[in-house]
Amino acid sequence: MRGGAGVTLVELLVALVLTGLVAAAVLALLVLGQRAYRQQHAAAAVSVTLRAAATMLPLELTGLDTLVAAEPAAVSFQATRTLSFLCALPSVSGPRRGFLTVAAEPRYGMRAPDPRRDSVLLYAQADPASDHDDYWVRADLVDVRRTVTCPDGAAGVILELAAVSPRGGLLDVHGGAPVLTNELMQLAAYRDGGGAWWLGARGRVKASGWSTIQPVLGPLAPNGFRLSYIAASGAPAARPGEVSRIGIWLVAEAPAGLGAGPLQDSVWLEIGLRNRRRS
Amino acid sequence: MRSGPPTHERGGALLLTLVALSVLGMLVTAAWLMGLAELRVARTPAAVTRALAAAEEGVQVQIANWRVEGYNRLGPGGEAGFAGLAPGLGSYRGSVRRLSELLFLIDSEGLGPGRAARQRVGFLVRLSALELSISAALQSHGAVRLAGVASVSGLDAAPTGWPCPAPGAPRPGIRLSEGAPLELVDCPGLACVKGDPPVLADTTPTRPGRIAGVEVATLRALADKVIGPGRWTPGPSQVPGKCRHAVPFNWGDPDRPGGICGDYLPLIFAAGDLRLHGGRGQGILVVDGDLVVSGGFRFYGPILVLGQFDTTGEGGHFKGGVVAATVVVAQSDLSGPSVGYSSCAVRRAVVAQGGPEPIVDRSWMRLYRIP
Repeated sequence: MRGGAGVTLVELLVALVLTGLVAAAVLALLVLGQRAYRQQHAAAAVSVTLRAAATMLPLELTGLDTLVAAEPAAVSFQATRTLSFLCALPSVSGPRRGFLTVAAEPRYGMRAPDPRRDSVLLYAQADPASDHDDYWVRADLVDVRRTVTCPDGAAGVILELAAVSPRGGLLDVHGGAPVLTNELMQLAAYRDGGGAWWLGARGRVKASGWSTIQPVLGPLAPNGFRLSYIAASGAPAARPGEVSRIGIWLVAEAPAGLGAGPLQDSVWLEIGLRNRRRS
Repeated sequence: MRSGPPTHERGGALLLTLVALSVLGMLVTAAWLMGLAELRVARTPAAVTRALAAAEEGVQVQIANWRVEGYNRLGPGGEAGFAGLAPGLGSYRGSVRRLSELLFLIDSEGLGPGRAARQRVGFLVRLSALELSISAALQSHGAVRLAGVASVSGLDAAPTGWPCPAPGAPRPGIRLSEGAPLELVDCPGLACVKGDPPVLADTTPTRPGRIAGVEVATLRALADKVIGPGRWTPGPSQVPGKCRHAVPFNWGDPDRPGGICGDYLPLIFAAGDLRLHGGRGQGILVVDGDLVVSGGFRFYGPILVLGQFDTTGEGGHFKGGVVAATVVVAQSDLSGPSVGYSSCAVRRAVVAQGGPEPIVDRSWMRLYRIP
């Protein structure tokens, strides 16, 4: 080039080759980065599923005393939904029926009592002087009526009960007794319409049976939710009432839409039932 | 041929390098941000686990160090707070709430390190009270002598002004071992003994080292006060707003159940013979020797005497129940029965000594405020 702005053919070729090399390198970096991003995203999604399992499953299962049904990929149990306290003696309206007045405060729980779903456990002391004959009265929750007044003037709620068991058990219940409302729940693996596996939960509605299962966490690998039931001795439990710990094997899978290819990771959780029956 | 350095060329290398560096920078930044987010997500379950363990520690500390003088004296609905550090986990705070005579809720909230997470657990406990067998106003496996104007009543009666439920069924006035001598002076037709029945012969064998169904060693271990032999006049001791529990002969104030020392019902263990002249007290009195009472001493709650229970002169008045090896009640004071059964006085004294134990099944739960 001499005194002008032109380039020689060789210079142009060299520049084109160099530009091509750099562009190819940048493209390769971009592709690599994108792939790494997808894989990281997928790995993070799997990790989130496993961490959610490690956080949520103990929340639901630790406070149980016993199980209702124990299957290899499903477990049914009475989950506590509220804790409140009697502010007056129960009113008995029949051998298996009655009314409870519970204080509006303090009251703990995840939601308000629901007669469509809940049953009731009520602490009874046959002889208050003895530690050895306390028990829980079971009953069906029929109705919840609000805005009553407790004998001490505080606000209260009336719970109507039926199917009280044992018969006459309300007579052993004293003021201040804890009242639990429970919902029959099931955790189970299920497959959605797209073929993906999930861990789902459903509650039992008294009038219509099990509600539609809702996803709790996932997606899971096929057979990615397996349960084992362990007795206090460490041996496999023969029946639900013997279960002292629940072992959960959970295999999480990357969501299909991420395009990162098959990616799985697993976790083993062992959850002790804090309120397991000793007798 | 080139004759000198080019002066007006427009190369693209710098631009390309800058683009490549920018892309690389963005990739590195994205990876760093993702790693940071991942780290934060990973820390959350760890913080939750620590907060839960801290809340549990709060519960266990309250059970292990149950404050008899704090928690057992709460009225139904009453609350007492607590707080503490859980080394390596965080801290906890909460309250013990009395639900009924025997039931309590321990409500403990754990805070993870740096308060990054909170978890709350509840634990239902019941007081495991001493199961004292007080089945009559006066119970003895040896000789019993009543003289003067002494009287015994097995009719269940609450001490005046005490917050008590309705009285229970009458108990025997005197329950003594079959074949043990009973001498009633100036008491025609068992007029000085009331109860159902007034006198009951007991065929239950006595066991050495036990009284009212409880090991003497257990009673000594549970005692709030261990006193030596001597002659004393117990009475309430208080400063404004506070009952002085450390005073050896402050045995509470049965006359003012709502007063400052009204809810103080200690377990007193006398290691040897004890003479009480006048004064008053409440709780559980255990005497590992003889007990001699005079001067109108009054006590509300069970009295357990391994030796002889003896009242003289003005004697004394006892509401609850008396268990002794031998008994001589001879006194001149006419104001009510010398020894009267009171299920309320026994119950209140026994419950005041109780320690916590988990209720049967379902004692533990996570607590959430209903939204």
